[in-house]
Amino acid sequence: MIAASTHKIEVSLKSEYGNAESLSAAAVLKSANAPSVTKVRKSRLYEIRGNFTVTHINRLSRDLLCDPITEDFRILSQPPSTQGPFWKVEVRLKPTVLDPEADTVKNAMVEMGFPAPDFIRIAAVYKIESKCGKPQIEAAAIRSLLNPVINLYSITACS
Amino acid sequence: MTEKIENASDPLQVLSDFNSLAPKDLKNLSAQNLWSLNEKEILAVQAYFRSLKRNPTRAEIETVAQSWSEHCRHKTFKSPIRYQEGSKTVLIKNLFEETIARATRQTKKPWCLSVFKDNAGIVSFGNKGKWALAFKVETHNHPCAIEPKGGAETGLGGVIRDVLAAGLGAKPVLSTDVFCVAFPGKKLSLPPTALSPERILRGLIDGVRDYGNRMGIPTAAGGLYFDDGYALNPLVFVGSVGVLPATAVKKEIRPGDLIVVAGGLTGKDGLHGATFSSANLNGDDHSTAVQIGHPLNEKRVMEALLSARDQKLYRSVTDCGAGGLSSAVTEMADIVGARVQLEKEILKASDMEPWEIWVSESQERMVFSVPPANLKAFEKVFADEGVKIRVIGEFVKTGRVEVLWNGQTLINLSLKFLNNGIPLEEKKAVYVPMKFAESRAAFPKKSIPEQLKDILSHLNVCSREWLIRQYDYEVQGGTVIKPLQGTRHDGPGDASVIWPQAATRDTSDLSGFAVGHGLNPSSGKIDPYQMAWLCADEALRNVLCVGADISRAAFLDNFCWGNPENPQVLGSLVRAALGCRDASLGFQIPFISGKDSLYNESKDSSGKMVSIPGTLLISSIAPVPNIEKAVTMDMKGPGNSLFIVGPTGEDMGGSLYNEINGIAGGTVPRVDVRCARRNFAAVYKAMSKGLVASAHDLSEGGLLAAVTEMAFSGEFGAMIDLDALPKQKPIYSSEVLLFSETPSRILLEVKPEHEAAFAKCVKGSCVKRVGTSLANPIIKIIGLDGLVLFEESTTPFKTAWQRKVLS
Repeated sequence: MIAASTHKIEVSLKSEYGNAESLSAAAVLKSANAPSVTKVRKSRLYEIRGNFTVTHINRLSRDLLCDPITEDFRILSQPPSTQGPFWKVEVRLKPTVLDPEADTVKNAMVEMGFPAPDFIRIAAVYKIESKCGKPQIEAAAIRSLLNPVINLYSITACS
Repeated sequence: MTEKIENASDPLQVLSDFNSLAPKDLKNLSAQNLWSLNEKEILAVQAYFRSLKRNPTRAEIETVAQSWSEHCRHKTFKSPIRYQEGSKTVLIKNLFEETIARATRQTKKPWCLSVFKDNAGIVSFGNKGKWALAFKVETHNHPCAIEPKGGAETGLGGVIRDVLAAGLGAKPVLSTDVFCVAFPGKKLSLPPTALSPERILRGLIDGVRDYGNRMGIPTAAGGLYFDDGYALNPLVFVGSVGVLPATAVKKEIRPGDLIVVAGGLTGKDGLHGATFSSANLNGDDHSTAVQIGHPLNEKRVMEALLSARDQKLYRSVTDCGAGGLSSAVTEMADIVGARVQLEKEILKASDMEPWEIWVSESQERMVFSVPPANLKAFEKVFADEGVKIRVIGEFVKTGRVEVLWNGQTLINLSLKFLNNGIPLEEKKAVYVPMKFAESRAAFPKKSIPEQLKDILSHLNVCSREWLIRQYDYEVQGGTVIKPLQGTRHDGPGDASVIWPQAATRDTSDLSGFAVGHGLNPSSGKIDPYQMAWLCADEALRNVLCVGADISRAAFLDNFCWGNPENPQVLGSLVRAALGCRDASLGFQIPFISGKDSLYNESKDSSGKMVSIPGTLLISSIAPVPNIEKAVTMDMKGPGNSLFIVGPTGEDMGGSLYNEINGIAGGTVPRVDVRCARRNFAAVYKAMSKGLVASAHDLSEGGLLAAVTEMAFSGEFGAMIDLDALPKQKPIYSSEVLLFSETPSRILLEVKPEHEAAFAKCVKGSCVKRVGTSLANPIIKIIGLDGLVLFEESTTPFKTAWQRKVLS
């Protein structure tokens, strides 16, 4: 019997592919009063709670959550080694708001024969290289990357 | 008890002292609980319950509030209005009945199968009369101001469900989107809760793209209009066209049929959407009124519904939109009656009060009326698509809506009271004409080619390719004329033509249809009556330019206005509605469906209430009897003759030329409907014979912008002789002839071998040859003095037109 725990999987585009989402995030941040933003890397973070083995999570990440040709995945068991310094902004939907993507992943997991997860939430992760301070990054993120009406967010400094 | 009601342990939540409350306390109670019932209305509710000698439950008041909301009841359009214009005052008993509905009745078109009754307007379609088209355009303004992407998604999802619930269900074959937002990149002083125009625009596009593309419905007819009046209240018009068999237009409710809900589960999301949309935006948090769309759920419901329709498994259907089950069930029960066991509804949140379940606006749900004998088959069809259904009650012949919660009566209201009990207040409307100096052409500050570049790069004219390319406009394989046209597939088409063979599965029937839009808020600021005429004229010309049969066109109206409690705002709304009536009668084209969104006003950063400019969108739909005869706007070859349809007048008031040169106001051009109808009929006759190579309507920027767009899209050139232009009265200014925005004009290209036949077709109408197409990609204009006014390559014009809109 495996104990239910929360697994975190981060999926990001391989570096050789032009990342339109990251470029567009950088552009909107700059236009939202954070001119010193030099680079943004965007990735998706899946938080999946349930009774899964490491093999399960590995197969799930490879076969469902990530496109193995253009994307890499990383299972976050401990705080990841980072290539800082940068600001990490995580944006997720409030628990009261429907998350259709998570719903679709949940259905697909069951159809693929995995045990049904207790809970799934998908977050967008922006790693922002900038000389701006936290208040400025927060204000710019609210103006461009997230909407406090439907989103929860966290901003952490990574080094 | 005048406070906001807190959730109590009693699931029925009887408001124990409601009948003894004073009027002031009642009003407070309504405001605190977001019921949006005014004093007179809540007093009527109290009188009703006093007559029943019992206090209401919260669910009962919520039901009345949903059913009497502006969103569901269109109170402004149905209330008596005392309308004053100059020294004349008239009493309009029912604005909708006396303007739009009357015009539709008077035009008497037998091919209108269902107007203003169902969830969408329905007209007959196809060369064998076997099919029908359902068309609906809706607004979703308030949610989009708060969360643009979610708002656009659920708006589109809602209008698609309207079409799915038109008749017994139509297969959606086209989505439309029109956005009105403030100019991006401008420093506006917005209150802290308001989103920037760029943010709103990006979100709206993301929403329509993500929802429409995933549903597998082409989004191929839209518009984008910028005006700073929309900074606090962006407008979002989303539409859907569906195809259904002519035999599936009629629906009925029979006592004994089961009430079945299918689709997404019910949650707390979207509480109070209907009453919220009838309130002003004031910066409070309305997160429960905001929702995220789930296109894959809706897609499943759509597939199951169409399959169940073809197996004739249900007798009626409606969508769960604003007001949720409360509105859907009472609307369906109509005069029959319904009994609901609410505990049978499946929930996705465990902490819901019964009243919340009843009014929740969770998305992607439909309500069916299913004969008990068909239930098993019905359930199987939906289970095959992975859609959960639940029987929540039955229709009964009681004339009442009764809702039980585990055997206890939660709601017991008479449908007569719900449908007719609303006290309508007489409203006051005053129309004050704007006073401007006589319109005249601005004194030009730049050369004509420079002015043309300014016009083509204006945000309301420039290329929309960056936006259109995000939408899947090809899915279903029926987009025969695409939104982007020309040699390089980047020219601005007037309309798209859809051949819905994916729905009819009949490739021998070459019938298609075109959809166009007319939107002209700048003229509405001067005269809303003429705005209605101009919108109708533009919507009609758009579909005519692609070869649609406009004698069988139909209109849809969408009114977006400010607060109708303000007599001047209501006055301009009345005037626009009168314009719609006269334009409909003038062109002999019926309105088949419509919507209004009022109270579009918010406080700006200084606390001042700012209203949007009164905005009317007229959408048109018309059949293209043979898609092989459809026409695009790009020039097809050198040496062809260019003909202009309609005379040019000195119509510079509200023109883009004047705007760019800093002159406001003037008089709005008038539509000469007799001349326009004659000309349009002649153009359609020539098009249906295949005599027209290309056609483009003259709108913002006038003749010069239109001819330049035709030339650079086809990668040819054009020569125009200004002396040859037909004129309403003598005009001696080249600028006026080139940039005047006289309505009802179209530019046509005709090949030399078709000229004789073309001349025969257009005999007796105002169609004149004004130039030729050239092999070299240049624009050459011969002035009134016979000398060359200018000769320029089209390349810089196209570059200016293809400017960047968002960073």
